[in-house]
Amino acid sequence: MDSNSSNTPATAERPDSAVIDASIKVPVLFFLYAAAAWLVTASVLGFIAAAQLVQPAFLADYAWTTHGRIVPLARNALIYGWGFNAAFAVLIWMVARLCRTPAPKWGTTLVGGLFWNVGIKLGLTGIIIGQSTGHVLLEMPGYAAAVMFVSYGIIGAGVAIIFSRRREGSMFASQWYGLTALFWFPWLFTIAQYTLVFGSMRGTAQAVASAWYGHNIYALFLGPIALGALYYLIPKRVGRPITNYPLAQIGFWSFVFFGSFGGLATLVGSPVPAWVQTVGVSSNFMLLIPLFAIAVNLGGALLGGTKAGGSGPALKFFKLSLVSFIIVGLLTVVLSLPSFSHTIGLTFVGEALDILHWYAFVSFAFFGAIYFMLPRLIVQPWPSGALITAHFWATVAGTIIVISSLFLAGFAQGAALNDIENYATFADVMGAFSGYLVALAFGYLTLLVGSLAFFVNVVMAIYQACFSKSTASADTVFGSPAAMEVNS
Amino acid sequence: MNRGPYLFLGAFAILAFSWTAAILANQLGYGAVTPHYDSLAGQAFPAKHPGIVERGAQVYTDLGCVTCHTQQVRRADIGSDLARGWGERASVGRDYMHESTVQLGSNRFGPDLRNVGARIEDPNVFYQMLYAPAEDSAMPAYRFLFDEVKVVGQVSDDALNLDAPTGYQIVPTERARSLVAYLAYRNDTYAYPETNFVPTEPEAESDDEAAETEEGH
Amino acid sequence: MKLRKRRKGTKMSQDANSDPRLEVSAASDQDIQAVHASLLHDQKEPKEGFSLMPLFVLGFVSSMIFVVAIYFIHNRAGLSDGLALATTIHHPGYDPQVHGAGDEEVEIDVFAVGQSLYGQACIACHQVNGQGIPSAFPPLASSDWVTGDEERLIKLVLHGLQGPLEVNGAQYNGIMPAFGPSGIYQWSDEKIAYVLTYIRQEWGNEAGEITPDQVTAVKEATASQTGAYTAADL
Repeated sequence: MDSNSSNTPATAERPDSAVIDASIKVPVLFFLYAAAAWLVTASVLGFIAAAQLVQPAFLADYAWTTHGRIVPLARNALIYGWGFNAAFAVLIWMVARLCRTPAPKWGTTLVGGLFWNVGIKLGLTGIIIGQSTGHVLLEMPGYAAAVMFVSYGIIGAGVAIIFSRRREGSMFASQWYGLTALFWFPWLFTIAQYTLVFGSMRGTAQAVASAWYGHNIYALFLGPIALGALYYLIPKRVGRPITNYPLAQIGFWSFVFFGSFGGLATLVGSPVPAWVQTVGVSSNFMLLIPLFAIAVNLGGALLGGTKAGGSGPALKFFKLSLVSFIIVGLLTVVLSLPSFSHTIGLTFVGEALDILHWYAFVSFAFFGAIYFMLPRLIVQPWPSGALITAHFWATVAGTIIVISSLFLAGFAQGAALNDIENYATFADVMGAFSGYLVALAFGYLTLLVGSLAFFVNVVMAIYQACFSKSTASADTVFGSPAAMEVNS
Repeated sequence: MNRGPYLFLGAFAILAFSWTAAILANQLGYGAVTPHYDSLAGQAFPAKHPGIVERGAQVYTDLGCVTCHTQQVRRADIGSDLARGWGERASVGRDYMHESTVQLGSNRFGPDLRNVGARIEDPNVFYQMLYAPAEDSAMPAYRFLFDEVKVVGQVSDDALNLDAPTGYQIVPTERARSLVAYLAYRNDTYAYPETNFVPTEPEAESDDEAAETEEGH
Repeated sequence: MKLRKRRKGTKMSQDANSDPRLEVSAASDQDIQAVHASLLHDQKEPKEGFSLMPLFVLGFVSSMIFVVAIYFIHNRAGLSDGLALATTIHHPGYDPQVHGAGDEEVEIDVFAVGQSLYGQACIACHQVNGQGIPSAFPPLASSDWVTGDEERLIKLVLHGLQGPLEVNGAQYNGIMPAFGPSGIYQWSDEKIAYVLTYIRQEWGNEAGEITPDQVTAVKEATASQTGAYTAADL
């Protein structure tokens, strides 16, 4: 298959990958640095929160470190700090590469990125000093949201400009996912801010809007970008096309359509209209369709081509990310059945599913993508192989410990809460599951070790790229940018 | 799928549909719900919140109490909420219609608080729990909501009967007072027409449901 | 259809394959796009052999839609009867045809309602313990006016009472306001019935219940009465 068979007129002028990478290098490296720094912050906060579950007196003497503020801080740092910055980096690089278009200029995107992070810092400070709005993932006060909204607009416009100047006619699956996600987030954010922060919906309709938004951050933004990265990088990494590629269209439209209602299923039993709960549970069942399509698409490509060279961490992260995606899809369906949902409702299982979505699926896909793209951006290999190994194993082990302890705690908690004969008082209920929370704190500590390794490696890589170009290019394996790409 | 405009048209349609079904429909449905005027009691339910309760709600929100406490009593066939005495009846939408920030919560690391004002009548019990929770409790102490004031002359009327260093007294701050007023106001005992609704054929319903979920599985 | 394998003889050293510090790329971006674009096109052209996949996908998707649609319709919980109704009643098994609209009369605890009504209007004069205030307001506890003739009691609450009055041997001379249509309270027959039932059964009083129908009957019979009664009238 030769690229020249493509009949777009611009074929001849297509720039080299190295030119594209160089044009977006500065903002993308900034996003990667910010993402890694927020990941460490989120891990520290996550560990503090978990430690407070075990030892309530830990940091309880000050209002700004009370458990009820640390938890939203950790969540917002993880999603808006790590998740969004990493998503911006992956999205910009992926769109520029797949549109075969260098960014005309990177300055505005960098400014947007700076202000996005200023917005998060403002918002987290707002939570610390007690201005939380009280809605999950919208805790940051309105003024911070305004800064984030504007800076998102600047970053998004940069991506849209690249897309509008595209020199590649065909749209690949990764672009469907990435570009629609880019388009959805401002709408979601506006609707949520308008209904919950600046205005106020009546009564438990707020809970519906909050659940809808909180889940759609995953289903309509982070999830699609992670899937876009997998659709792009798995074939690129293993040298095999997507299996049954026409299925990808069904997968895409059904994933975003039914995914957009998935959050409502978390309201089973709550004082919201029963039809809302029915919509949520129905959507979770319908999500089996995209789950099947995406698993066939990506799984087929992975299983067919794993021998295609290299032992880097990207492929391992892609595999684990796909496995997590399948697991969380199946678990969501099974746990929607009344026999389960009546037990696990209002327990730690909800948080376990969130971590499965955000961390084991989305973050692993981003880690893989970053391991793939950063050497190409800096035209050097990663500075430390040992740190890569440390990050990979600590992250995998930490994620497994955190998720399994949350599930075990949640199931024990739910069973004890429902069994009033053996667990009459709340202290009895606590006794049934508090042991698992020690493991949870340990898991977060492991994640912190991994995040630190990742952060140090990213910082070293950026430092190397900025200050030691001359020595690096001579004695590393990447003698020339072209060597990193297979050009036909 | 190669045409950008179609992609964005589809993306817009999906978001518009999702918004209409999940957000707009609920807003309209809730908008049509009115307080229940009880002519015998001579007032409408739910009652509007007094100012101090509204301020307490802000304290509850900004301290993130919702992280560990839910405020929803689920119906009899889910969990043991009613059996645990967390409410006389399941919560209904109307209970929340005057709340500026609905804090349903998603994890019961602590007990449900929807009717805590009905269970605990003495405000000093709330102050005690906030200042020095029980030994086996997983709740942190909220001492920053209290002032340790040196006793000058007589002990203040506001001083709480809590362990204080000699020569000092523990006085709740305005925030603590508001929070306790808010907690004491958590009391959904009023019975609306819809709370008296009992499905008349529970057997048939649950059988059908089980059959369907099996199919779905 | 395979993407082209990595070319031999690129500048990448042999170490590149095993170095975890960089990732080998096995396909160029152009290849990825060209191959997948052609995969989408080829689907419309006749293919050799026969694939079970489209058939399976069709069956899977339609059976999912079928099952979930049944589930949804069965558990729509009043959605087809208007959003407002579906918002107030949220039980998945709810069916307005079978269970009614949820507006049915609330079971009333007459005694409790009467007590609350007493607290709203009567308590200021007749006091919590029903003893009234000596020489100002007459007692209700063990008073023949309360536990005795039902019609007389209803009349005086409907239209009020003024002038000298003897209760349990003590003399009073005050004004009892009207609670019926002629007074400022404008209480419904139900309210009057409930509060009377309450005072006839509290503080050791053991008289029978007064129903709203009794109050209505007395109200109609005394419709011509204007102004308050005196003790002598009754």
